Amino acid sequence: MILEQRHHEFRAKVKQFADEEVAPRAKDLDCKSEFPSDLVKRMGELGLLGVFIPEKYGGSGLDTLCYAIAVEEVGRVCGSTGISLAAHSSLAVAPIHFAGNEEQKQKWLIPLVRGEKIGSFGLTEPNAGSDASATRTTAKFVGDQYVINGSKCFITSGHVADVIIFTATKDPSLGYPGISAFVVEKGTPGYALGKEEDKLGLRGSITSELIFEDCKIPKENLIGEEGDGFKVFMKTLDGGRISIGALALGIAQGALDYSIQFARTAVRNNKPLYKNQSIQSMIAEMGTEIEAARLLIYQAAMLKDAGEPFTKEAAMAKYYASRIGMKTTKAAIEIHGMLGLTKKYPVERFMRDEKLMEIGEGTSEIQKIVIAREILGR
Amino acid sequence: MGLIQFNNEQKLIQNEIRKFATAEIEPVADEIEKNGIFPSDIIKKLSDLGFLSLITPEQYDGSELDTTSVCIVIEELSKVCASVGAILVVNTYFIAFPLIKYGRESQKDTFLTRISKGEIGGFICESDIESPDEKIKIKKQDSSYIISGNREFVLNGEAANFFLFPVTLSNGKGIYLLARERFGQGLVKQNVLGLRASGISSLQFKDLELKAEDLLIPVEQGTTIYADMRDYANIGFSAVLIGIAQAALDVSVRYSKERVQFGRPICKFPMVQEMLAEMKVKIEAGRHLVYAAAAKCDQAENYALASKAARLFCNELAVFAGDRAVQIHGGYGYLRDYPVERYLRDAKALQVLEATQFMLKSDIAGELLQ
Repeated sequence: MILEQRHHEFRAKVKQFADEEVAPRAKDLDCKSEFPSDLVKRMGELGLLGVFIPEKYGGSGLDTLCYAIAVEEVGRVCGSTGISLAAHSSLAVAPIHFAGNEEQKQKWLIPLVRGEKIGSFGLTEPNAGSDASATRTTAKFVGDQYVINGSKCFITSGHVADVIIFTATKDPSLGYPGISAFVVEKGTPGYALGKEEDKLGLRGSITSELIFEDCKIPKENLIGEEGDGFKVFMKTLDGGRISIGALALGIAQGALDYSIQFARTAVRNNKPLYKNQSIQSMIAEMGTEIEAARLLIYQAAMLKDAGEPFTKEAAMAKYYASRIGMKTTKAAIEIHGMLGLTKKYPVERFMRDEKLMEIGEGTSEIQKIVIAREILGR
Repeated sequence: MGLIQFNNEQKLIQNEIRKFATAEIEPVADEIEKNGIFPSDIIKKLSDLGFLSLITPEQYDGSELDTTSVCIVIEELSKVCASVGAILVVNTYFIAFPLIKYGRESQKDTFLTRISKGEIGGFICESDIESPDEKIKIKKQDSSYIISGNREFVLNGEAANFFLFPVTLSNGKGIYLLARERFGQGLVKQNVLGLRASGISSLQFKDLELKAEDLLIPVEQGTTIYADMRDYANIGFSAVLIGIAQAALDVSVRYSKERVQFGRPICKFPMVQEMLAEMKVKIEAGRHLVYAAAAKCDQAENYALASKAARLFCNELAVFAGDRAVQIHGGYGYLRDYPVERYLRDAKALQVLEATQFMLKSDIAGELLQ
């Protein structure tokens, strides 16, 4: 795909950071389940936490395409650092930027973009996964503040987050119209951290339960108007899909890169592995599908930048990139043979990390429903 | 189902092993897998019931079961823990099988009897792919070979007391039988994606002397017999894969009936139903391939193609089933609190164990083009 010079230059900058600072850490972050706080800080310094945020809020003032490239390049070497970047940017920075008022932006957006604070997004609940209208966390307006009760689960970066944007309803029987979006800050009485999850992959990222027990938050923490919650999270997830697609793409690219390297050094029947036609066939499929996924993701990003509708394209990008990403990472293990099962090579980590891309921020099944609705009309 | 007909004895075995698996393995399966603990207690109990020396003749205190019965045992065990199934496949087809078929009387007497008493053997894989990760130096010295280097994969390595060690020499492939002591401290447990309780280890050795008397299979026959061992093992591993896939389906059916989203159990959604249906159909097809290959062994027909075909299909099927089970479970499927992510990891590990898809395809084509 022909990109502008500035996109190439931006990619080169992120690639250097990824290769030099993230890649050497990736194996340990996974094996030791260690959250890379220092790398998040570094990403703040490099302007990667506010790629698409205007400079007046401390951002880099670039576009969504640059952001997708950033997630792709970091994901290429480390899925855990990639998801932490994607969740922070798409799920906390973005909604405060597009839905928050000026005071909220000054208070939260600036430190989030600088990496001084870590952001998180609490939507999912034990009984509200794909179906967010089943939100049970309640927000009652009492005096001049909201009292929150309920719990959230599968929250990326929950345990380390300083600023958490979350959804709650004034009445569970109302469905979507009852839902509003709020911000809670770490340390607020009544806000507690539940279990930290032990996962298949992305083990260097944090996934948490959040608990609210008579948690009182000031009315200034309401994002947008009461009842705007559905609008806010739908828009957040639209943008989030581009970044999950980009992460799926990056992980797949990493798996292909390692497969090429392995096929060049390994030998079978006295011939280098890459000369085997079956291996070539696998590599050709991987390369083609990765390129197709890249086009879909960049297209969705460019539509968003142009202010055009991009819901369908973003859903297609995430659905396709995660699907071929799983296929690619599985094939990468196949190319490495049994060695692909060990920690000597990152390909088994890539497969474990990649699986979340078909689940998180809307499963593939939900993406297909969104795509079909856009294609068929409502 | 239909073509697969078990006789009364086989049905009894299925019943017995199913009860054992549910009572003795299921409660600890998650724990041993998560912590990579080799299930020595379970192996001991299996041995007491005669399920460790599955194919060993009665004169060495074995159970002398046919291949179909072995597959039944492996499938049932693997439904609750694929690591246990894989340990048995290795012990049966990479260790006991060549001993029974080709061992000298003294070797049979010693090692088959030891297996019947509860010991297990390990298999030092010789990869078809040479990579910079594995290097072996071989020097001839009179009737011995002195070898130094490493092997990355020793199946059952953590707990085995003796090992079969195939080594490619200038004039063919020799398969040696060596006691654990010969390796000193060279065996180290591997940190692998799946089959984490099966004790897969790596091995380093320096100036190890392979004496003529250590040879189980002479070099002239090594390559052919290794291929035969693999064919049998392919049937056994296929039974493990069917067990994993069946477990993935069972738990997915259960979960899809319990999990409610959009006001109804998710099993009511066609996209979920499709996944369940595809899993079921593939499992039935795979099971037929496995038991057809086993029947060929039992009827002394050529099983070379049938065993590879079963393995090729079941490899794909189990990874598919594990993956779809995670998908049906959504976010919960990604957590280690649920068993489904283990099914995916175990299936993927088996898919490349001792044979990969493209090698199997090339071997199947080889059989066709002969």
